[in-house]
Amino acid sequence: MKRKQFWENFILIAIALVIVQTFISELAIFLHWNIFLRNTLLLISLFFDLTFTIEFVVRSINAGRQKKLISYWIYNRGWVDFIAAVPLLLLNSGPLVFLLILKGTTVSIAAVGILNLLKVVKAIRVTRVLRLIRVMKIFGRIRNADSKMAQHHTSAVSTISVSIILLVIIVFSFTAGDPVERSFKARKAYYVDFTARVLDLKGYDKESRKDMAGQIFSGDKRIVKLFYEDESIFSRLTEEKWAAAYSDEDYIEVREGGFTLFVSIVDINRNRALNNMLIFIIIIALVVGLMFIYTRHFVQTISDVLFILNRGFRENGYFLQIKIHKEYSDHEIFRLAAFYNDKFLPAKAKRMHRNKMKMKSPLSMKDLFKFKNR
Amino acid sequence: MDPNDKQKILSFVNHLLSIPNIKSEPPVIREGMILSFITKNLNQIKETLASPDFFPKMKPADALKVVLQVLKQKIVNEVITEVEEWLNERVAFRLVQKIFLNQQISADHYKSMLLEFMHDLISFNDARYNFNSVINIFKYQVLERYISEIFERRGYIFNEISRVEKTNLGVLEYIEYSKLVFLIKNIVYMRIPVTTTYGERSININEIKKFSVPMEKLLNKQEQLVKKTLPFITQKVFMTAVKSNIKKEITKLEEASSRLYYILASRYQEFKYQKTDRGAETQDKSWYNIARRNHSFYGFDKNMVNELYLIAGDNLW
Repeated sequence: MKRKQFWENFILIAIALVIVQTFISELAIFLHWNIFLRNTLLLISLFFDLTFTIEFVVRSINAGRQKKLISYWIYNRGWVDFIAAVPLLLLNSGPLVFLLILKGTTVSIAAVGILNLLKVVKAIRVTRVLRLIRVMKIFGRIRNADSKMAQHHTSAVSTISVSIILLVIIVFSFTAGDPVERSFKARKAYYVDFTARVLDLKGYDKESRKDMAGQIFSGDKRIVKLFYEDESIFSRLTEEKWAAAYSDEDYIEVREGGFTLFVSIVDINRNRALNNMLIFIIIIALVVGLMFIYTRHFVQTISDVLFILNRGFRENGYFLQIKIHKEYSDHEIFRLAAFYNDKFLPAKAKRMHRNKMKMKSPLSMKDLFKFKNR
Repeated sequence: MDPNDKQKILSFVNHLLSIPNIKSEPPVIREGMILSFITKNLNQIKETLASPDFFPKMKPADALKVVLQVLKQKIVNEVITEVEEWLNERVAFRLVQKIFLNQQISADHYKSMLLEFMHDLISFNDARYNFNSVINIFKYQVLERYISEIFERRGYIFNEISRVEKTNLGVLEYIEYSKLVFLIKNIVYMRIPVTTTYGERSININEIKKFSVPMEKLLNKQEQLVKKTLPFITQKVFMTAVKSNIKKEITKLEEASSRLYYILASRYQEFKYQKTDRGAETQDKSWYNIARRNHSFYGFDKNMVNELYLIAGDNLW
């Protein structure tokens, strides 16, 4: 029991930390933190994805053993546990870390594989928004109201809202195309075209074109480095700084007519990170809003009413009437409440008054016998 | 009686009063519950009392008699201590003197006369069981709160009290007047020897039908008894107190105070403070809503209950 509690607390802390980690990962891209920090965050992300995948598998096995697998998946949000872990591990952090390891070790051998993997990872980059569904994991565990019914309905509404937002983003991205990917392509196309125009200049020899390209491209701050064949024409950063700050994700390579341009896409990544942070904050605000505002509303207009009705129907001495909000008085539940207040309770009081003498005594002979045991 | 038995009886009574199911009830209600339980299970209880674990040296009837005496004494003492406290702190005799202007009685004298009377009154079982309303009314300062509101609103109840009944009292005097009435209202439950068709019997209002005794006959005797201990009590005060125990139909038009006190006494006889659940109306408002729906069943003045319902609602009582 103690061990189970330990793991439950561990998972709870992990969920809280992953929310922070998700936000910081986007912030790292927005602020263009160095590669070391970003890779560290990537490793942390893998750790969390792995942890939650294990958690999901263990919970599924346990539920399966108790023949409650479907109940766990459907009613206890096992599907949220699944989405918040498995696809991320398999499609996001897993491949990215794999890529990182390959790059660091056997670049030449794996070059072709890396390229293919990179394409796949980029194509499903949008799946990272699924991390945001973890908000549901943590808020799902917070019990804001005493009423189980209120807890269930608030959590159902939040889960549906968050899932639909994420689903729309993913579907939109797969059908209409990822706007970030489009920006990358547009940028690449622009520089291919630009380079081609520079090369088209007639009456210039090779050296003059190099000088000319150097002069023209050095005015464009997006071009971080420029090579002509293997010769560096200019670089805005030293090799150390370049290695520390720029990963594959931060630039595109444009090769045209012997020129190689390293064009920064940090600004596009920054916009994407900003968008992700915005969606993240919207989702958090939505869930918190539902949790506190909608739960309160639900409790006041539904579960409190039912709580009082339940007590009034079951308990002999309970005669408190239900507070009816004028503005909702035409709602079915308040029409029932009005009937309870004005018909049921008076009838119950009359019946009790008539049966007062017949009522069972709260005392019994057992109470008397307890005296001898003192 | 063996001192050991005496001690054992006392602890048995304490045991009865602290039975978990009734422990939270007020003392007089607890006593009522115990007595009704004993009455319903008399034979079994007598057998139990005679068993070796209880009072084997005593006759069961004697043991029961002593148990009931000790129980009564305990409750009477508790109630009287409370009444004494009210007389010292809650009743403004300065204002009582204003109500009975023609009587030359000092505040202390009023107090001692009332205490003596209350002692006699409370020793009658029915008077004591019906005293819970009075205890609650004093405890929760019901008269102070409701009468102040009634006078402030100047609605139906105020109109009935001041214009129809013509009490001619200010709000503070009326509050003290009401307290006096509540203190003596259980006079109807005092048993008075009356000649009936079955001979001389000590009866109270509950038994007038059983012994075919006209109410006036009993009331006259009770009034004489009250006047002996409380000479300042006028016939009006006495009748108001008496009629505050009976339904609206039996009161006269000008007996508005009685009708009001009857409602308040009914409200507070079985009152037990409970936390208001979230989403529920307050206890008083809920009770008055039921009362106004059932006004004819309970014998309440409909307009009075309606006004009390509004007062409770407006003040979240």
